Amino acid sequence: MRESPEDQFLKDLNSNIGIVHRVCKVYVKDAGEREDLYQEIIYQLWKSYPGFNGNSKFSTWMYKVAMNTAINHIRKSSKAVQQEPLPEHLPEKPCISEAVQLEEKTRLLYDVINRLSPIDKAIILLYLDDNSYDQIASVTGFTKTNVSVRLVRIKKQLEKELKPVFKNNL
Amino acid sequence: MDTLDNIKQFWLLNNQQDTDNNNLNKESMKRIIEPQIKKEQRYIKEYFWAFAFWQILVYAVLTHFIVRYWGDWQFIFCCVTGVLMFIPYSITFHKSLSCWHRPANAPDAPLRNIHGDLKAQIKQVSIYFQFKKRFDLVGIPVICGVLAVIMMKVTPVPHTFLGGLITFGIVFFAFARTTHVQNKNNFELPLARLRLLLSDIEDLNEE
Repeated sequence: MRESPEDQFLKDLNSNIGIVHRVCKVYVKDAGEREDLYQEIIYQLWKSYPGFNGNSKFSTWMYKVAMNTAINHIRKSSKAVQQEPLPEHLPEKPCISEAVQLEEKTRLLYDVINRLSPIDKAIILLYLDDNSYDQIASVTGFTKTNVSVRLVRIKKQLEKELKPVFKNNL
Repeated sequence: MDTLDNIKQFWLLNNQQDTDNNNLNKESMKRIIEPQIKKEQRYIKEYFWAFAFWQILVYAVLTHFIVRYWGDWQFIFCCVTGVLMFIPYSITFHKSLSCWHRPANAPDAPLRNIHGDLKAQIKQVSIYFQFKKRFDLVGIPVICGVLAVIMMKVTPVPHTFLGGLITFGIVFFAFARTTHVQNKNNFELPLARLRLLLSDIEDLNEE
């Protein structure tokens, strides 16, 4: 039996729902505001789905809708972005369990990404989610060459802040 | 292996829980979609009624004065000018705002990349702002003149040149100040933010 468009949408959405969560985490720090953005993105995806013609991958289409909604949301948001100073490096406490260290590392990574410009956030998120340069260019509107130029700049910025944490691998 | 590769590895290994634990079903979708639809409808209703109320008020007051002071042709001329000024304003204002508040991701709207979406948003806000600025330039002095005449007619303001000038000055200052604040908050600042984001992309594309 053929699936209804609603079932198909839910199936596609659920297999890529992580994109929505990551976009929310990268663009909004406040938990309450993040929930608002999450709901807004889901709503925009639901509303735009009839226009999805399958010419691109569902995930690429989803990144476009989610990121446009997020950028629009932070533009309208009255709350100014609070820039908190980052710790020099992650405290190395042997008593801290591996899970806590992992959580702390993830939080620190999101904190650093949170401090980038909205466009740089989009590029680094797409890169970390293992999208090709072609896909990053398609979502952002940069040329493929400029994606790599921009990534070099972001890389320098991230390395400066995260090298002490990530230099010895995971 | 460089730091960015390490970060990417770490990211790919530790960001899968979002995918596994937060699946949506029809019920949870309904719980998200329904309040969003209500919010959007409430917003449209508020906008519509605010707009309609202001328009009805202006036309009703001016029509009332035309009927009440029929025969006082100088005053009637002012009221008719006010009505004539507002007709194109009502039409264009309604058209522009309907277009402005059209959801960016409506089913029939083309899906743009971030660069395209920013350009489209800037174009949409700029077109309306351009129209509003032109209207304000002509409309505010004329509307203030009409209001000053009406105020002199219906309130105990002395019917002298100085009385008229002061009334006009007060009304003009109030209108100009409100328009300036409104333009700054609703158009200039959002446009500046959008242009900053756009330049972030275009500066590199031009390099």
